[in-house]
Amino acid sequence: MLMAAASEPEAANPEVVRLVALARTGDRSAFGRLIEDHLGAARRVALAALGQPMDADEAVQDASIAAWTRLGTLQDPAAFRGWYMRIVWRKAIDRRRSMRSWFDRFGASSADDRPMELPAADPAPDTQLMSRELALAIAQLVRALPRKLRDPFLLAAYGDHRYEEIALLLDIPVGTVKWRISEARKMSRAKLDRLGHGDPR
Amino acid sequence: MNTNRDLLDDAIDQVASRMTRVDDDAAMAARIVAALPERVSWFGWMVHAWVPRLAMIAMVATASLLWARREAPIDPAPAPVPPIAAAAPVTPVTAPMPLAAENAALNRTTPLEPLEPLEPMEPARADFERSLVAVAALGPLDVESLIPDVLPAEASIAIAPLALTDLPLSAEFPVERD
Repeated sequence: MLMAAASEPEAANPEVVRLVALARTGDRSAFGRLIEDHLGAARRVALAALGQPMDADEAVQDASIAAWTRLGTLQDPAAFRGWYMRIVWRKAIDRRRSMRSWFDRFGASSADDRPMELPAADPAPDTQLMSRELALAIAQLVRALPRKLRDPFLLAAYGDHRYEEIALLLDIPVGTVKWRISEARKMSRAKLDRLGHGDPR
Repeated sequence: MNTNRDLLDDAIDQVASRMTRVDDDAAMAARIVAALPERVSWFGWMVHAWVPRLAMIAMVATASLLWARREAPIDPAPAPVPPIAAAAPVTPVTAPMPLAAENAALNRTTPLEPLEPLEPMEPARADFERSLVAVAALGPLDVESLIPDVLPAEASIAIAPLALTDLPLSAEFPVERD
């Protein structure tokens, strides 16, 4: 089961509002604390789009600088998280497009075709049940999904974002987000069945 | 079957979650803060963002205005007057007219004042006193003075005899070449 968060609206955090107000006056340390609180989610958003941790970190850095320079345009300080995540996602998508066009121009494999770096196996008991071979097969299948299905699927995978936030990031309705996630899982499962991985144990 | 399917779904979700897992990087926030550029105020940002655009718009608007209000090209400047001619006293032939008024008169396409309708000319009211003087009647030709019998006899015509010589053949003439 994917770990997308529940759909309750995010409550205004007075600390975030205070830090945004300080950062608007030019307080770098306040902006650093704002970034630090959301850095993990931002890096995962960028990683979902780019697939490579180094590229994702560069996109997050670009997005953070853009957020710093545009902080005056943020109308609701309490909505800093969603605003920052949208900037991160846009920067990651821009980077993905530019990488794809560069690879297309010079004939190398595109970013989507590069081998995925799968983190080491989780020591958790449920993860130990899955073989390394099956994990790699699933990872390759997910990477091979169409981007329209893969993006919401990976954004929802870690549970950082609600479906509404994913819908805002992708600029699509919430129902479409849910359908695409379900479709991505269904397509991956069907391919695994054809590859003979019907039983994951 | 359902158990296998659920396990497969769980496996897919676990792998997807691991695909978006990032290692902790405590120094990343510090690196980002160190790389932040100097912050400009909102007014400064507006100025930096809009001044080039406003300048471009102003240039285009000015060029359009000048183009719309352009005048016909003025006659080229007269040739420089030689010193001798310049030193000579100049007597104005006509009354001096300001250049602008002169150009306006040249370029005028509509009358400055509404034209008064012309009065129809009536033949009965023609002003014969100020018209051309009537041509006098021609005198009769004296045809009798031209009759041959009347001509004086002493004024006979003498024709000298023609002297014909042998003409050379055309082939003997030298041909002139260009």
